[in-house]
Amino acid sequence: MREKLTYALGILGTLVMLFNLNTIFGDLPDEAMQGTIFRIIFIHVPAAINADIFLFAALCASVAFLAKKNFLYDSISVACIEVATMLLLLNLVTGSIWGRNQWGIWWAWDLRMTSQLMCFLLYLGYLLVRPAIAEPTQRATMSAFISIFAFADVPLVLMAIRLPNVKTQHPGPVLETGNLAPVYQGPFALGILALFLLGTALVLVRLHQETSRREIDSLRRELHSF
Amino acid sequence: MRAGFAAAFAIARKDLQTELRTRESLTASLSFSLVILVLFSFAFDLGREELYAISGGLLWLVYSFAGALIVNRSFARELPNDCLDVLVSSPAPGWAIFLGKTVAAFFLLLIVELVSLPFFGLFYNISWWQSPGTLLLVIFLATWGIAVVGVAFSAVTVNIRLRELMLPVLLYPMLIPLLLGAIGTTTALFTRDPEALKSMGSSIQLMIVFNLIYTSLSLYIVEFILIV
Amino acid sequence: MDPIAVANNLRFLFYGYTAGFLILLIFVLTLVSRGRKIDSELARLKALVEDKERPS
Repeated sequence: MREKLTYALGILGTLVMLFNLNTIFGDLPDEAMQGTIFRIIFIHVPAAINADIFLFAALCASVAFLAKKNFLYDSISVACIEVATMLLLLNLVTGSIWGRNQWGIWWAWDLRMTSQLMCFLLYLGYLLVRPAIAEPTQRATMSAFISIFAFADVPLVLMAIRLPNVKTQHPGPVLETGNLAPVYQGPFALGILALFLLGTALVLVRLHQETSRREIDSLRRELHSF
Repeated sequence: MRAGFAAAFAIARKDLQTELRTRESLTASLSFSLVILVLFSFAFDLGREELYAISGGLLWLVYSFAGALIVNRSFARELPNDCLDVLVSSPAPGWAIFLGKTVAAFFLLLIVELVSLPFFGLFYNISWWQSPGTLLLVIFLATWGIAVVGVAFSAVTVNIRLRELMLPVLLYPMLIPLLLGAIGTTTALFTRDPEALKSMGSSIQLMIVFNLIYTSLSLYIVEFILIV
Repeated sequence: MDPIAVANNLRFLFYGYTAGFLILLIFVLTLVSRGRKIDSELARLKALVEDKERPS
């Protein structure tokens, strides 16, 4: 059942993405200011949005773990954060390539980018710290704590972007300003959906691995008791 | 509630007293921050203008390094003789233990900062005393932020083998919004640039919000993470 | 827009999408290889436990 669901989500996500790529490269007109490079937005922004969705899911799972002490929630949290970190990297890399073309530099230290990089580093830290803690309860508690604390940084970062003395090069968020032309809105939404389906499939795979890993741990303990 | 505050006060007093008697982390942190100040002066050979432009960043880098040394000891101090178990099983609520520890770390870090500030001015020829009130407010806010987040990390990492390595890896990225605010305001206060001085208010707001969020979050969450 | 800029645009668009899909692909591949390792380890341990439980 779980396996079938994973495959179904993965295949559906891939199909949506292929269909969407066909529209993006075949049917959409170039953007007036940027030319063809603007098409990166259809993978750049959906990656960021889906990363935030999975990070929020991880936050909920972490809170649930601290409240219920059920290790399933810990597994959900790791699975979501791993996929989200990958999406954050995707967002940063595509953004950097766009920046090289449009601004002539790979990286500008404006707050929008700094904050995204910081987010990436925090969750990378989470993933790096986890294997270093041997005791399962400690590991899960520590992970939940980091996940909650790291997520609390997100609103602060959003606030920091709006500081008046901060100069920003990054284009304004299209979703907030509603500047996205109607022709582009469909593919944009489909891009989000495609990465969401693929991401969920990957989360399910990762979740299964985490459950197997816990099973391995308990089998090892059982072997030691002989 | 009142008993909790009394317990927090007692724990803060205990921490400060032991630290002032043994001066374990205090001397380490203080000498470390002086060493970094000297090192930085070798690393950067700058003119007066440039030095002023990076002065805030320099100062807060030193302070956050010193802060990591202080908060690292906060809960680790209770490990010998199983003092931590006694603390956790005492009638004092978790938030009171956390609050006491944070207040102690706050004052220790404040001592280190206020002692090394004149040395900073002396080594780099920076006139830092031009608006002492605002500078003190900024130092208070940022120090409280470093203490809160640092002590919370100290609480979760206390039983972990690689504690000293883990703390900085996770602590510094989390402090970035706070440090950004502190660096911006401090540089503005040193350079007296009218543009920068005008936009200081929102940076201070950011620091206040950071402190509010992390203080309340830590006070609430510490109950769940201390019992490990 | 001048033709050089247009060509450059297309090139960087290609770089962007290639990088994006490469990251996705590498992630999926590491996930699969790690999954294989975990599965074989689990099977090995299960066999070991059964071996020990069998009265000899």
